[in-house]
Amino acid sequence: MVFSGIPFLFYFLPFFLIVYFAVPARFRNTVLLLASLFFYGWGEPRFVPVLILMIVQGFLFGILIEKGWHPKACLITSLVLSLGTLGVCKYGNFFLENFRTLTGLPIALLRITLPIGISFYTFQMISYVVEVYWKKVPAQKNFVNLAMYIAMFPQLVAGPIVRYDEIAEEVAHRKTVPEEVSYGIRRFVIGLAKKVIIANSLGEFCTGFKESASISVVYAWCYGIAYALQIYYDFSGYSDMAIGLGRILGFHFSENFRYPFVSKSATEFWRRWHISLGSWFRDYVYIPLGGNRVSKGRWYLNIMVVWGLTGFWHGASWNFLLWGLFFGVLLILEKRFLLQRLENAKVWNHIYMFLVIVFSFLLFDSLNLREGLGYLACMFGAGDAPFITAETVYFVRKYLILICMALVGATPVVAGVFGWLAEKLLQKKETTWLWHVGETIVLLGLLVLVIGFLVDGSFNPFLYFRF
Amino acid sequence: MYSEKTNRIVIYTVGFVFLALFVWCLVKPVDDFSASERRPLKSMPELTIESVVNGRFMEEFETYASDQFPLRDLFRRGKVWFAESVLGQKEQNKIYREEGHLSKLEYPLDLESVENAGEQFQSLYQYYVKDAGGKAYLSIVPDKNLFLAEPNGYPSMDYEALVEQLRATTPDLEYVDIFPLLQVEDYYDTDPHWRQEQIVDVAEKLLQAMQTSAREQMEPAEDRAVVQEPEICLLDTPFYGVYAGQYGLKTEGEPIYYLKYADFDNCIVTDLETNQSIPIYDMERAKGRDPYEMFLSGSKSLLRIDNPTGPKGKRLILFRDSFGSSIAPLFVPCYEQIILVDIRYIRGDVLQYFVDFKGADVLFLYSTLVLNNSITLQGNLHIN
Repeated sequence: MVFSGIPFLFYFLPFFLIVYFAVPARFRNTVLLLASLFFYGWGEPRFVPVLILMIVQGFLFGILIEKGWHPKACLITSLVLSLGTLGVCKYGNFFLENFRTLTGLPIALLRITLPIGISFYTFQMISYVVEVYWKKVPAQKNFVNLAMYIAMFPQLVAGPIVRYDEIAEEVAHRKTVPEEVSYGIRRFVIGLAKKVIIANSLGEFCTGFKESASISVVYAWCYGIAYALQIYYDFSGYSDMAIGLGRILGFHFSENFRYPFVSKSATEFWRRWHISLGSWFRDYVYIPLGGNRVSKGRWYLNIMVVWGLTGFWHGASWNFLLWGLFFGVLLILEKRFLLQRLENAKVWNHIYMFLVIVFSFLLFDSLNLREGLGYLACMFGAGDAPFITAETVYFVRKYLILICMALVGATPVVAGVFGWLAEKLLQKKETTWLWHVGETIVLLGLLVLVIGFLVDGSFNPFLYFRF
Repeated sequence: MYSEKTNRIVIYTVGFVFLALFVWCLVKPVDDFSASERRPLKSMPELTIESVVNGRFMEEFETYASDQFPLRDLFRRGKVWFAESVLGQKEQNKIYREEGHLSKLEYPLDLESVENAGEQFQSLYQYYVKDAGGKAYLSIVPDKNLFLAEPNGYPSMDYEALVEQLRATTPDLEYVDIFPLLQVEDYYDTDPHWRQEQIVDVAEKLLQAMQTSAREQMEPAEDRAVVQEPEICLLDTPFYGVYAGQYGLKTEGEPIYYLKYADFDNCIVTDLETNQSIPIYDMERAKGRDPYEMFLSGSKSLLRIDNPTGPKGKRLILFRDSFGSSIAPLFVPCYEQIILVDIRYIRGDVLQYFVDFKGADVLFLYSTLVLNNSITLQGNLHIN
C-alpha cells in the first residue's frame, strides 16, 4: 500500500485513526503494530514473515546483549542475520550475475523478489541492536513495542530511517496534542501534493522522454532537470507524509530533506539530501572506521567506502555504486581543494552543484552506465541528436510551468512566503480569520487536486520503493 | 506560531473531509459503468485466501477504489481545470481542445503497424479477390489530428509516410485518395468520427473510382449515386462524443444528422454473426451510451445489406472500421448487396465460409487510427 493511493487515504488511514484514538493509550502500540503488519502485508503478504523474523532476532539479541551474554557474538550474529537477509534478497543476484560473467560458469540465479522496504527496516534493526550494544539505550523488553518501532507503517517502506534512540521514549510514552496533530495534517497534505501533483507529473515528462523516438539536446537537458526534481519531490513528499503521520500519532521523526537544491557543494548537499541515510552511514560506518581522525589516505578511503555503500544501498547495480563513488570523489576533491572557494562564491557554486545534481541523477535513473552516459552525451550534442525538435518544443512547453514551479518549490522561497504571511496575518486580531480561511482553503484545495489526479490518472509510481 | 484555534480549524476541516469520504466510499452504491469515459467500472473484487495470498485482491481493490470514488467526475474536472488553467497544459490524457474540437493525440507514426495492416490487406486480396474477377481498392480516412495537431503546435504523425508505407505494402490495391475532400468540419467536435452528412462527396469519389469501369457499360440513369438525393434527418438528442467524457471538462452537445435514401425502405440488413435483421439506423442505440453506434449498430464483425432496388449483380465487400459504419449507407443505392467486414472482430481465414467474393468490388477503408494501431486486426490468413 502506498500513501498516495485511494485505498490508503480513504479506507485504511481513517479507519486506523478512528481505532487508534478510540482505544486506551496502553493499547495503541498494539493497534499500530497490527495496522502496520496489515499495511505491509497488503502489498506483499508473503514477506510479512521475513519482517517478523527480523524483528524477533533483533528483540532476542537486544535482550541477550543487555544481559551481557556474549554481547559481541550476539551483535555480530544479529548483524549477519540482518545484513545476510538484505544481502541475499537484494544483492544475491547482482553478485551471482557478475560472478557468472567473470567466470563463465553456468550458475543459476536466485528466484527472489525484493521485499518492499527491506533496506529501511534492516537499517533500523541494526541501529537498535548497535545502540543497545553501545549501551546508549536499554534493550526493549516489550516485544510489541520493538515490533511497532520497526514495522511502524508511516516509515516502514520508504523511511526516513528512524533511529531507535530518537524515539525510544515516544515508543513507551507519547502524547497527542492538537498542535502536533494539526502540524502533522499540514505536513501530510503538503507531502501528498508534492508526490501526486508534482512528482507524478514530472514523472510523466521523464517517461515521455525515455519513450521518445526524437530526443534532442534541449529535451535531454529538460529531462535531466525534471528527473532530479521528480526524485526530490517523490522522496521528500513521501518523507513529509511520514513525518506528518508520525506527528499525528505522537512521534517526532527527524527531517530527511532540507532544500538540497540550494546546496553550494556536494558536502552541503549530503547534509540536506536523505539526511537519515547519511547520518546512519556516518554513525554506524564512517565513525567506526575512524572517520577523519586517521591518516589522510585512510580518511579518503573511509569516504569512498561510505559513499560506495550509500550508492549501493540504493540498488544492486553498478550505476548506483558509481553514483555513490562519484559523490565520494567529489567530496574528497571538495575537502582537499574546493570547499572554501565554494563556500565563499556567490553564484557559480549553486550552478556547479545544480549541474552535479542533474548529472548524478542521470546515472541514478539509467538502467546501466551506458544508458546514463548516452543521455549525458546527448546533453552535450554528441551523436546525431538535433539541438531541438518539434516534439521537444511541444513537451517542454507543456511541462515548463510545472518545472518552473517545482524549481521554485525546491527552494525555501515558498515556505518563507507562507511563513511571512502567517506571521503578518496572525499578529493582528482582525486579520487572523484571513489566515484561518486561506490556509484551510489551500489545504482542502490541495486535497481536492490530489484526489483529482489520483482518480484521473494511473501514473503513480513510487521511486524509492525499489530501494 | 499558530494559535489553538488555528490548529483546531485545520484538524476539524481536513479531518472531516477524510472522514466524510471514508464513510461515503463505504456506503456508496457501486456504479457499473462510467458514462463519461465510456468504460465499465471495476466492481468489488472477490475476497478469497488465494486472491489475498497472490496479491490479486489488493491489486484489483486499488482499481475498484479509484473507479468507485465518490464524485469522481467532479474531482477529475478539478484536476483538468488545474492542469489547463494553472499549469498551462492544453492536453490532458492525450486529449486536447483546438478550434472547437476535441481530439486525441495519435503520435508517433508506427510504420511497423502500418506495414502489418498493409500486409494483411494484401494477403486478403491475394487469397480472396485476385482470382474472383473483382477489383480491390484502398482508401485511408485521416483522423482529425491531420487538421488540428501540427497547425496548433501538437506533435503529429507523418501522414504522407503512412500513406506511402501502406501503398507500398498493398501494390495490388488501387488507391483512392480522399484526403483532399476532408477538413476538420467534417468530423464531430467531441468524437473521432466523421459526420455522415459531410462525407457525401467522399462517398461519391469512392463510388466513382469503383464504378469507372462499370459506368462505361451503364446508362446515365443507372449512375445512382449521383441521381438520388438523400433526406437529411436530425437526431432529437444532443451528441456527446467519446472524447467529451475522457476530456474531463464540460463540453457542449452537438447534433447528429443522418441521411436517408429512398432505397433504404426496401433494404434488409442482416447481422451474419447472429443471423438477425438490424436497422440501418438503430434508434435504440442512438439513445444509448455511444450514439454513433446508431450507424449500422456499431461494432459488428460481419453485416450484409441487401438492396433489392439496387443495380442487379453489383456487389461490394467493404473491409472497414467504425468509420465505415456511417459511410456504408451512402453506398447502398449503387449496390444490390454490400457486405461489411470488420477484421478486428473476425479472422481473415474464416471469411471463406461467409463471404462470396466473386465479381464483387472490394474496398479496404481504414482510418489512420486503426492503421497506426493495427495489432487489433486479425486479417492474417492461416489457411493451408
